[in-house]
Amino acid sequence: MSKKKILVIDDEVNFSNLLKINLEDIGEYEVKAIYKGSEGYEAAREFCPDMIIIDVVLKDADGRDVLSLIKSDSQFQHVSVIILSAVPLKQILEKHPVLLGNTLILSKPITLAMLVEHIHQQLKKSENG
Amino acid sequence: MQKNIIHVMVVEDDRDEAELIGTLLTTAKIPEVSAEAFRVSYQTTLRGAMAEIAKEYVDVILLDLNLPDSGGLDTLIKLRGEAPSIPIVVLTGAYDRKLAIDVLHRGAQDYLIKGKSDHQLLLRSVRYSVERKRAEEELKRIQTQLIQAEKMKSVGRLAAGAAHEVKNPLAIIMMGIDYLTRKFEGPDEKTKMIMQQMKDAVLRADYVVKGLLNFSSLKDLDMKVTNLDEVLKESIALVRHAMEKRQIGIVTDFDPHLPMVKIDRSRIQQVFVNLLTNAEESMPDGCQLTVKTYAKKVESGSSVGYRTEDHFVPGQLSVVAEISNTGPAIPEEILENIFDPFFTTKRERGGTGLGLSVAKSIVDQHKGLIRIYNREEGGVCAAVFLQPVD
Repeated sequence: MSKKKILVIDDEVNFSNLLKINLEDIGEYEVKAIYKGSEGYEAAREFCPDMIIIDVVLKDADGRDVLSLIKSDSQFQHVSVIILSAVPLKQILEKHPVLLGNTLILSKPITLAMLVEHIHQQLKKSENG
Repeated sequence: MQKNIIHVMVVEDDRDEAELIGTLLTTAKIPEVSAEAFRVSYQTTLRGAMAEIAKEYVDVILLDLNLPDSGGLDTLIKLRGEAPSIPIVVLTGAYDRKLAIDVLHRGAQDYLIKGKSDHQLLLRSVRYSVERKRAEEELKRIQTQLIQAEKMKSVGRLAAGAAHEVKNPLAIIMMGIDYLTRKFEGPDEKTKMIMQQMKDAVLRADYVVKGLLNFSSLKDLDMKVTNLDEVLKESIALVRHAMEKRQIGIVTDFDPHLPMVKIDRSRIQQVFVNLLTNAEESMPDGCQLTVKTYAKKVESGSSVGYRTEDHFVPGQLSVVAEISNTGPAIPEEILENIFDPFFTTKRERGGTGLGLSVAKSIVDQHKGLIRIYNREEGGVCAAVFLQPVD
């Protein structure tokens, strides 16, 4: 079975790197980490991810706008998304309720075990759907 | 037409003078005050006056400064210290310009010279004192509210900023611990234990931040007309499992005719879950918890209803939810601190001390009241008073 590709977009460089290492150590995922929202769409086109893990508060962009841009490309219309953020859930939903669908919102900090569990479920859902 | 009865307490040791004032007030027939009537009570000493205001509602005090047990400005200062919210009009025999200014500076509403006050002057002075004091109190209340709202706003901004700045590093530490746990995997139990403790510490810090966010995001309430019994039932369902595990029985006694309340359902549920959990945690296994609702008129003379922050006045209907347990009493010295932010008696078990202060803020926002007290028959009772829908 080929490895699932996960694109991580988070300007917390140390977090993105650690997440990449942790996920790749599991052996089932290939992870690309980028630290700028403005490079999100370009990276998605190059990397063709099965899933995007993104923070909504990025220094150079609003993560939700980055997601909208990526999802406006028909190629990524159904890509699984996990929003992983330190911002309260309610605040995230207020602006972009449209984002929901195959988007899951999780709160930082999170244990690796819990995150992997959710990644697994999200990917399974999108395979079945 | 409803008559507003103004209770005037005359504190004067000269009985003739006192009676004269009483007669002037009770026989008043002046068009502008026709809607009101006066009830007059008499005291001849400062001690007597203090005893009366302690047990009865007094609208205004007419005070002679020179009494058998107190003299001069001191009389005013002592009485005002005892009842800062009751307007006082000072009566005295001798005209003294300096004293007149002093009593006004010391918070008296007005100054009347005995024997020189006619009908109209006396009535007007009494009535205006009451009105002026009411206006002052209202202004003070609004000011306090504004300050409180401003405080909540800045705490909110602070908490939102802190949440982001704290949660991100916590997330990095958590990922780091997960990495190290994997690297150190093996027979070393001690390392495993330390890793777990570090993880727990991160989760605890996160829990505190969440509590702060909760505390500060109270301004946007989603108010809807609701049956409080329903909210209580949902709250009980959330904690039932934990109770059953400890063989704690829950007895409910809901009033089927409970008036509706206008509340933010999820917030009030948060309050009940908090109170239920507290009640549960403070009881030994096998005890009993009682949840009760009823409507009740706030009594005068009860501790509820006199202070402006209570949001209730005596005689007004309130909708009450009571959660009481059969556990040990709360020590008196702790009782006054239980609503303070970060005050907790279970820090070592992960308590943050935010639960009850959040609960109190939520209830305050609903213009309600929360009281926790030791019951005479044993156990502790937490009561939430809410405003019924008009």
